[in-house]
Amino acid sequence: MKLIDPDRPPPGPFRESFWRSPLRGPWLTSVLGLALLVAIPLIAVTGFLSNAAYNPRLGGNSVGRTLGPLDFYLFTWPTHPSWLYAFTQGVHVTAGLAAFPILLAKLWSVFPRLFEWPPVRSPAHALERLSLAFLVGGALFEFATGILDIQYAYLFKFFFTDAHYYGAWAFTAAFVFHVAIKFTTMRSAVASRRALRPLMDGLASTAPEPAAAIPGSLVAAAPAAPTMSRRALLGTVATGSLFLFVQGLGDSLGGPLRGLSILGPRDRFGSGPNGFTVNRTALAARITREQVGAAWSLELSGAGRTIHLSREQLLAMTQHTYDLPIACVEGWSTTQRWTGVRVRDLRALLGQGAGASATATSLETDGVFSAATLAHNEVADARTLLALRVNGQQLSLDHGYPARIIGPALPGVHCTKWVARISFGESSA
Amino acid sequence: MRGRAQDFRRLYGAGPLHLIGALASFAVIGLAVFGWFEEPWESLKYILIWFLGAVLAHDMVLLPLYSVLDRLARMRLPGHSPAPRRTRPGGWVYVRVPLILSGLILLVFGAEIFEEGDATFFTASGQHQHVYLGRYLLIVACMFGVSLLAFLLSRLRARAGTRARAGE
Repeated sequence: MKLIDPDRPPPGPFRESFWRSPLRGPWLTSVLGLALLVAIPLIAVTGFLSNAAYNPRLGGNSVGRTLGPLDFYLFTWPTHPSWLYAFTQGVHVTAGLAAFPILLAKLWSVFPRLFEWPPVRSPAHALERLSLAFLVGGALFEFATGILDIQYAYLFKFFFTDAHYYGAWAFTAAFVFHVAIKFTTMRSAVASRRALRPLMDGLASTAPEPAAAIPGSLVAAAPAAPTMSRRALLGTVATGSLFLFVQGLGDSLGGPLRGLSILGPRDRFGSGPNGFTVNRTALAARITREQVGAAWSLELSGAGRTIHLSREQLLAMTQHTYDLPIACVEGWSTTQRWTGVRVRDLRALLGQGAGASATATSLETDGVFSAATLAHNEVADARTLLALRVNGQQLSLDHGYPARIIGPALPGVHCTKWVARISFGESSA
Repeated sequence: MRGRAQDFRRLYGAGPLHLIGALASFAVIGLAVFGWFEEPWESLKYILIWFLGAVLAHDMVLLPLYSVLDRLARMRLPGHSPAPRRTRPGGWVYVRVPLILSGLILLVFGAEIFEEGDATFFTASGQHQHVYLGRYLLIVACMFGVSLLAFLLSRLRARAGTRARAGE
């Protein structure tokens, strides 16, 4: 007797009769697959753009990650429009939340395939199944880490950014291969039932998809009576998806629409002109009143010179005001009116050339993002400020008093707070 | 030429493009996994645990649990004897849909609802997470309320339909 007999699956889930849902079938899987085919590329592209927005080639911006062959950057992250990062990251998080229920439904719809018998039919089939391990594992890993990250729940004990970035590459590679080999199946399965026709069926006319005779077609061999229609199933998925979409949308649009996001992880903090979302409090950064008192001065270095400017001297320089968003990698954004000194004016004080990048270092000593390097285009942009005031008032300590960086299309954590030093240097990027 | 292509297909199980695509995909996956392996062992260990754990939790816990609950409920609910009774609208769907949605929201926002990251969240944002449990329960209550209304409406409609037919 052979150990693996293709015609005699072991009992349990390996037998086709085990799977009883009358709703499973190629049409249902393909419709869910089609929705993911729209959502996943959008999430992947905006995710990779988010990585590019950090300009990882500059200074310490890769936060300790060694750049490898997967790190190719075709352009320096632009500064126009100023809401660019708020947009790409809002799309990333909102679409990611909205796609999660679709992913779960899709995985449910193909669950019997996990117990395919025989487990391997050919080398091609073996490669497909190995690839599926990275597809399903990668998807669940990316969604789980992303969803936990926006809630600040670091239950995982690894650095989120690196793990999420490489996980994204593995998942994307497996996803592209999966789409390439399944696309025609999906198209014919959707077309065979005249696209959305099955949505017309109520419970009474819900029947298994016609294909039960084909092994591995996902259609149950011995289906149970339906307890809900396909319309109800997809409606449930769509409702869950819509609810999560609104949570992400409210969080990323901010302002009065923030109220839509009842479970959105971030909300405004405090009241008055400084009453908007804080990403890292002075308490967390261990910033003391003494550090930011009268003794504080800004150290500027570049072109072989170092100068110090007190807050009064900074306030005596020409002040500029711009409305700019803080856009967090976690998806939330908040647009405020910032006033301060142009970073490029500080560069000019030193006599540093126009192609320079600028590294702003915080008073804070142990934060992962206590320093960030701004690319030459960000430094050259008139709207990139060392902000001293917000909404007409002095910055609060939690928002970076005595001075913070704010710039167009800059990821939130690159808007360094409690700035101690800015050093200018020639940059290649 | 044709014979060779058929030989390939017979041995490999698909055309040569399939193999090229698979190898290209695995090359990128390999680079990504190497990227992970650059992490210190303390981190890498947890990355691997989470990668495998996510699959196991989904395939071996979440889905089986859902299936078992579904079967148990079907056995107990009236109107769902093995023989299908299609004379009246199924009642189970009015429980199942809000239940699935409550579970989904809990799965997504469970961390903040159970105040999992509260300490980090507080030092980061100056806020606490204690508001979320109440909001979540309110959402759950609303969903079951709407579902109950929909159920009553469908029953009324069914009864009206029966009466209309009786009066014909």
